[in-house]
Amino acid sequence: MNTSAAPHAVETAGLCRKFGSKLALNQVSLQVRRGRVFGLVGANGAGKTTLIKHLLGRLKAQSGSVRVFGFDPVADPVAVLSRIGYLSENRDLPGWMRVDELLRYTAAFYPKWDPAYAEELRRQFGLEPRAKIKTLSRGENAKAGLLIALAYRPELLLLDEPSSGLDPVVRRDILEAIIRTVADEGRTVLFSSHLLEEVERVADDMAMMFNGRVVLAGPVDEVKENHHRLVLRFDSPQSSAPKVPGVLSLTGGGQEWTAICNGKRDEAVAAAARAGGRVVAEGSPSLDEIFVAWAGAKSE
Amino acid sequence: MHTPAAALTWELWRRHRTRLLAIVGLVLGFALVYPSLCARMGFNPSSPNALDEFFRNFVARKGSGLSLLPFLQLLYAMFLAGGPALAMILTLLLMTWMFTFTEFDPKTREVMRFPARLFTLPVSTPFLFWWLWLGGMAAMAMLYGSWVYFVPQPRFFEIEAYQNWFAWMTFLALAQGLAWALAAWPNTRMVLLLALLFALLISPAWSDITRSPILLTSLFVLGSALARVGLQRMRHGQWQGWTWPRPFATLFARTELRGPKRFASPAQAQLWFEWRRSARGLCFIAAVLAAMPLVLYLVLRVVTGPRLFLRADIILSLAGYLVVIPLLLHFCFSLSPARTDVSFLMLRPLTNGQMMMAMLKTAAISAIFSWLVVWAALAALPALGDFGEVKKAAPIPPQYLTIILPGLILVSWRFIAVNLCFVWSGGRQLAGLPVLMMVALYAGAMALSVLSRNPAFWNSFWPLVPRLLVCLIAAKFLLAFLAFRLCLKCGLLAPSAVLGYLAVWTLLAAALLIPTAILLHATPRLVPGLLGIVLLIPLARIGFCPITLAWNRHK
Repeated sequence: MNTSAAPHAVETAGLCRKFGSKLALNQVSLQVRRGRVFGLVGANGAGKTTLIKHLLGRLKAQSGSVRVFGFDPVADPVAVLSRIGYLSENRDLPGWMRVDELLRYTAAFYPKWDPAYAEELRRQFGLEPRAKIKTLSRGENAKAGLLIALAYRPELLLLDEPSSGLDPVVRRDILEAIIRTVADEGRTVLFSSHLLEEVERVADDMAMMFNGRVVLAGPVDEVKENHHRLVLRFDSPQSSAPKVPGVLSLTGGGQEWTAICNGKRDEAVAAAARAGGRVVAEGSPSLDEIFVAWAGAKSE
Repeated sequence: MHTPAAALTWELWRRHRTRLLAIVGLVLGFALVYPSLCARMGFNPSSPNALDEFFRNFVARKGSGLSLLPFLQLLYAMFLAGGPALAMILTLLLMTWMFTFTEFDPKTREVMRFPARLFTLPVSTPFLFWWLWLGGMAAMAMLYGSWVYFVPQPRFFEIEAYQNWFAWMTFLALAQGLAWALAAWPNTRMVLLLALLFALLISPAWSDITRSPILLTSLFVLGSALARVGLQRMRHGQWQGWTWPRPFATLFARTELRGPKRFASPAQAQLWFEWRRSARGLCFIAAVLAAMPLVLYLVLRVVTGPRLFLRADIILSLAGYLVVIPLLLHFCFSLSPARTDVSFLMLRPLTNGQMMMAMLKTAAISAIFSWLVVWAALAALPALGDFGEVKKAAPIPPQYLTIILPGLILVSWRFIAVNLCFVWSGGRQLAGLPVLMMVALYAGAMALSVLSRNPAFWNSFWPLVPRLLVCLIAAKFLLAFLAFRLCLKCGLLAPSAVLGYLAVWTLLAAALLIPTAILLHATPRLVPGLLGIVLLIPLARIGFCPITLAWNRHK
């Protein structure tokens, strides 16, 4: 198999992982197409970082398979890691290095390292070359990590919670980096995030994870189209959320409740009518609303 | 836990319970077992001349042909003579560290950092200070009292300096003062704390200090005051460290990326990484520790005049101290190399073999450098004082240096090389194995020493030694074969890397075996000596290293 011509940048099938008795990944099957921006969303402990660690080869699949550009990250870590630019959630860069040393050191591993591009990014991020990593602020540390992840124009940019705890300026830099990476033909970005407006803004495709399972996956537009927000009015005030089959979540109080449903809009409307409610308004929910609805549905 | 004091006491117990239990175990062990061990060996610890009497008896027994393994017997004698004092000093040092309340910070890699979280608790700084200060003093007094009253301490001159409760209190006060007042200068803090430790353990000046109540009281007050002010200032972010003078800051700010300086290969970059991460520091510490006695001597010479000539026993202690530096440093480092930056390192596109080779090479560099520094310091010793005692204690013919010098470098390097496979496994139990192995080795030597007093045992054991070594070597080669085959099969090591290491192994073996064979050819020690060298040069555990690393890398 010509692995570099694999149709998907990332492909997992039936991936399972247990930590003790906790099932961290449960039959995760995902495909990330080349040249796309893929957003991975999920609650804390949903398994996003565990999945990313499998892609990097830091964890070995207990069952199922993982392929990155057709390579197994455990059997051939060098082939996989030399194609990936990774920004970790913990920003674990060696604190004793200086920024210029970090760049020189990292450059040695990547034949495609672009010194001019690295210098341009360094200036853009405002990083002093002689500054020690351990003296950098959290945002600067993220920028340094992003710099070494981008400067060799990786085929796959893997970002684990890139914007968590960062100010809007650094978040903007990261988003720009994502956009710029995709602008280079054939490059792929996979990022996990809690900030759903970011995912909505830049991702082409997404997957939503809960309790180690992928509950929802597909193009962002399609996911949004498949979900509906219905505002229901009941004849009498409801003391608790009414039971409406086919609805992911119901929020509100009194006579007016907002329902989020997945795909089966007509069935939800009919069920609401049977429960004594009628639709007074409807629209397309945001990813945030969809996420909260799924989170509520999964926790019940 | 109803009070802050109870909560803090619980935290101290929770953090150090293993150490505290070990301390209690040591005191109890020595109190209960040590007197009977002494009685068996005819060693009277309460006699002022105990050591002389013991060694006189020891030499007499050796002469009568009972002690066929003088080295092991000497180890046992050393244990009896110095065991209680060493255990007392170590436990008191441990207690001192506990009551500085500092910890290792994996993020900044600061070794003794006071946890800032304590400052977010609703307790006043005076409370924190008094709790740590009084608690520390009480704990030190209790521990010191336990050692002195329950364990018979051999009485001879060198130990007297440590048998002073107020000196230990002063030591704690100074350690707290330095640890807290220099929070913003971690490197300076470590150097000064090491110097304090050096003064306590090595310097003959400590015994003079302990004999001077005025000096001791002044140091006690100074340390306590420093600790009080230091804690206060640390809490409020004062004393934030030096700021570079403006010209330097401007110069560095204007420095551009040094473009042309590029590594020729990933292997070269990794070698640099390992050098910068650990080996450079190791070399630096070895150099500082080796230079310290010389610097101290020069300072004393300036103070006392040019006719300062150190006594033979001090020169002997200094020689022993210098020889121990590289061995101890490399052993300590081998227990925790490369634990930091693991996540970063594991994500570099490097094979496990490349990572291991870089580590082995830098370990070799640091071992060679450390020994060079130590040789230089040893060479300077005759100029400082009476070197005759060293020559008498270690009468080594010059031709034997051709084995001893490379042998010592090899042993220092070996600590890191063989322990890498345990430490890089990422498992806590496996990483602790080297310490257990060292303890087992020492216990084995002790047991042999005791058993060797029985001539029948020794006469039957000695002929078995070469056979035992042959079995161990066979096991070593078998394990090495299996490990390297697995590495090649799984692609963890390139065939060229395996061949390269085997070539290095052969060269090392030849470099030690040939001179050993020439020097020992007419002695019965030839065969065990050669077999011992083959056993010493690491092979199987080098083969297992990429495997355990892969296990850690792809859990």
